[in-house]
Formats: sequence, structure tokens, C-alpha cells
Amino acid sequence: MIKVEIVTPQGLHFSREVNSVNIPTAEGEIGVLEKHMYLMTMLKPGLVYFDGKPENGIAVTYGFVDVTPEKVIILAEEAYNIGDIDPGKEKELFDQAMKKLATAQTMEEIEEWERIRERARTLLELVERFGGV
Amino acid sequence: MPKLSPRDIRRKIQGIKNTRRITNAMKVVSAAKLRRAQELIYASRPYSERLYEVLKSLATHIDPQAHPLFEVREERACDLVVITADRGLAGAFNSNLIRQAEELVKNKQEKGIKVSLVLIGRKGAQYFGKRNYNILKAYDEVFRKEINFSVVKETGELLRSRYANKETDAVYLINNEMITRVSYKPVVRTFLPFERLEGEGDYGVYEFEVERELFVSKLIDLYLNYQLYRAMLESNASEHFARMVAMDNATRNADELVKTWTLIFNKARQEAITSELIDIVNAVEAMK
Repeated sequence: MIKVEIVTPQGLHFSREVNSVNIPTAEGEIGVLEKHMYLMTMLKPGLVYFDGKPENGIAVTYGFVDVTPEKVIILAEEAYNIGDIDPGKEKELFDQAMKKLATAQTMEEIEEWERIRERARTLLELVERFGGV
Repeated sequence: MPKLSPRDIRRKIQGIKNTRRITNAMKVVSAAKLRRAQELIYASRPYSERLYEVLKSLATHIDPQAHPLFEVREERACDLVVITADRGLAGAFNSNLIRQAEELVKNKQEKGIKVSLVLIGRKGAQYFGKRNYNILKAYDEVFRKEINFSVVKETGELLRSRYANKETDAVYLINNEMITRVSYKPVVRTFLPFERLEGEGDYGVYEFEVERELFVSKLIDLYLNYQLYRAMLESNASEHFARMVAMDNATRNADELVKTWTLIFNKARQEAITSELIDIVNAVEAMK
């Protein structure tokens, strides 16, 4: 068993002991079991799920991940249960980001809006995959 | 003081009652805002605790030279971030903080340290703006609705780059903070140089999936921004608390005044009645 905590600036979203956890990271996805090696990495938008059951996962956006043999801390900017995602709002954000990207000039602007687009796209995808259950 | 007629007194009482209505309304509004502000603080706590924890385990494995924000230098110039409220009518909330900030500045200057200020909140911006201080940046109308995160980002960036470029050797944060649920006071914290944290236990060697420098600097940026944000949250909650208390006192004072003046009014009315009665009695006596 390994302890997993998902925290956002809005509060402690999830804290429980699980057998395994899968986390979307900057380089792909990692699966963590008990006694994992020490690891730090960045979180990217996607689904964190436990014990190999994606249908009970939690959607997260950007942040940091700290893995130790006993504990996984996920510091996310946002975390949602799939049912709490508002597809209408995300769609709007996605469209807005697309528009902005078409006219964006500076590197910073492009990076910022790509970030927003990626976030909205991922959340929408998750709703599509699991929202209808 | 000229003798007031009962009518004047009544007008005065009405005036006090109107003021009381306003102070009472402000009290209620502040209480509601305080509740919301406190909820925000409580909600933000787990995140800052974990963030600190992650950073702590990281700190044991990074070389102080590895990041410019870890470097400790002799203090020749320092920056002070002063967080005040945008509005007054909150008792000694702003004046206490400003006084403490001034003392700190004086202390530093006596040691020959150059002090520059970053002012968040209109009251501080006004006060220090009128006096002879070296001001880097002043923000007002920050606490209008929700706390403006762009201010946090901008200030954080400014301070970090100044520190990294050796324009300043230390950064302090002064703001009002809730000590318990029912008290607050100004608190000074060191923002930079980054406090070297003592990690406990053996953490082994951390593996990094992404580039280590990038990770460390992003995490530190986040931590510092979050610290600033938290300071603003605290200041915001204390402000509402201070205003609530001030307005409660004002309402109570008004109650007292209404009582006093009602008594005076009654006396004056009785006096008028008595003198009229005397007149009538006199007239009746005279007609006999």
C-alpha cells in the first residue's frame, strides 16, 4: 500500500492508501507502487487513477509530483472528479485558446495559450471517455 | 454650548441613529467577508504544507550554488514588501502596520542598508508615496474583489530577478496576519534568500524525470508566489476582522450616544412642559 495525496490551492482533494497509482507526467505516464524510488517530476493535464481502474480516476492539470517509497504527493493547480467538469466552459476555453493562438505573437503568449488549450482539451477528452457512465 | 431645543436634540439623535445604521451594516458585511476570507486561508493550508514538504526534501539534495535564490550574501541592500489594505475604517489595522514597517526601514538604514519598498494596498502606497522613500512598485485596489493573482506573479518575478541580479541581498515581507481566530498583528517574514531547509531522515538520491534545473526553479517560483499569495490572504482576512471589530465598537458607541441624548431630550421636553405649566398657573393666579 502506498499513500497518495492530491492537493490543490483549493484544499486537499484526495488522500488515501492505494495499491497502485498512475500519474500523467511531463514525459508520459508513470505507474507507482509501494517502495518506488525517489522521484520528482512535473504533472501534466490528465487522469490520475488508482489500482488500475481508470473509471474512478481524478482529472488533474499542471503541477508537481513527489514520489517517495511510502508516499506520493501530487501538487496540482486543479483537480476534479470527472462528473464535476463543466464541458461547456472547457469547450469555450478551448475555442478561445485556439483563436488566441492563431494571432499570438510572442513566445510567452504562445506558451501560455498552448498550456490553456492543452488543459481544456484533456479535460474534454476525459469527460468524453468517462463522463457518460 | 448653546442650549439646544428639543427639536434640535431630536435631529441629533436621528443623525446618530443613521450613522449607527451604516456602521452596523458595515459590520455585517465585514463579518460575511471575513468568513469567506478565512475559508480561503484554511483551504490553502494543505497545499502550502505539502509544497513546503516537497521543497524540504528537495533542499537536502541541492547544492546552494545550484540556484541563485539559495545564495546568501552580506546584506547591503534589501527590499521590503508592505501589504496594507485598500481602505480605512478598520481601526489601527493600517497605521500599526505602517508604523512597524517604518521602524524596520529605520533599523536597516541605521545599519547602512539601502531599503527599497514594494507596496501592495492603497493605504501603504499613499503613505509611503508622500514621503521620501525609494519605491520600486506600488499597487492599489488590489483587494477589490478576489485577490488579484497577477499582482502576485508580477511582484514575485520582480523580486526574484532583483535578487538574482544582486540588486538586493534580502527581501522581507510585512503584513497583518491572523494569529488566532480573534486577533491579528503585523508579522515580518524573510522572503529571500531562500531559507535553507534542514531535511530530516535519509531521502536517498532523487531521480528527476525532467531537467533538474528547470524543475527546481519552477518549484521555487511557485513556492515564493504562493507565499506572497498567502500573505495577501492573511492580510485580507485580518482587514475584514479589524473592520468588523471597529464597526462593532462604533455601533456600540452610537447606542450609548443615543441613550445619553434621549435622556437629555426627555429632560429638555420636561423642562419645556414645566415652564409652560408655570406660565398657565401664573396666568390663572393673576386672573383671580
